[in-house]
Amino acid sequence: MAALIEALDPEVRVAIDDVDRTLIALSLQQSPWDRLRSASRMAQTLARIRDATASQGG
Amino acid sequence: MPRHPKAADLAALLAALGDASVEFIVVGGAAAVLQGAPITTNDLDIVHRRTPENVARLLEVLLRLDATMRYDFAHRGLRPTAEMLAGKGQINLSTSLVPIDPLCELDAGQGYEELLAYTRPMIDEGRLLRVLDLPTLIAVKTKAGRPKDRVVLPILIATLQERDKANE
Repeated sequence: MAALIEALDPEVRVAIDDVDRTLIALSLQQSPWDRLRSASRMAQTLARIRDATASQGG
Repeated sequence: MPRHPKAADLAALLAALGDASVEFIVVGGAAAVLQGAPITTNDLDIVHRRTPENVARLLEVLLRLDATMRYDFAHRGLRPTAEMLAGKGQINLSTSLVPIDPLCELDAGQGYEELLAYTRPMIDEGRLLRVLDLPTLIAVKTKAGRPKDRVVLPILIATLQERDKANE
């Protein structure tokens, strides 16, 4: 772990402390396939909103 | 733009590959998600085994899912071929499920066989998946150093830390 962190540039290293670990805990409570389904659904929803906004000239 | 739409299901694509006995390693964002990283992803990056038999199995699934090249701006509906899948490059495909990028090698000399030792087997819903482990994924993204990798690296490190903590 130390070696992985050491290899990062300082900016990225600092950002590790800003990660919301409650989201990780929630994700770890799910099964791997449920994690994948949630992530896929979220990405789809965001893409739909983005496409709809773009088609309205937003 | 890719003509394939909306009915996206990453898990269904993985299931289709698994049901056809395609040998592959999940890499990229999906590998991170499967191991608990709270990020979104809607495509599948895989490194597949490049034996003729496995390439044929993969190609059969891709063609059944109406796979076409994503970066074909003339919209010719170009299909993947066995030669492409047996080569060394990366293929960007749109399918009737979700986009999939079969990578012949993750990096030079990092094909399926070389990466196998760095995978984590995951069994869920009766299916065995081989997923590139988080330390290797972090090392790959650190080396790549692209903005999109740098954004996700802190989340991957934190996920690894939390997972290790939970396993103590």
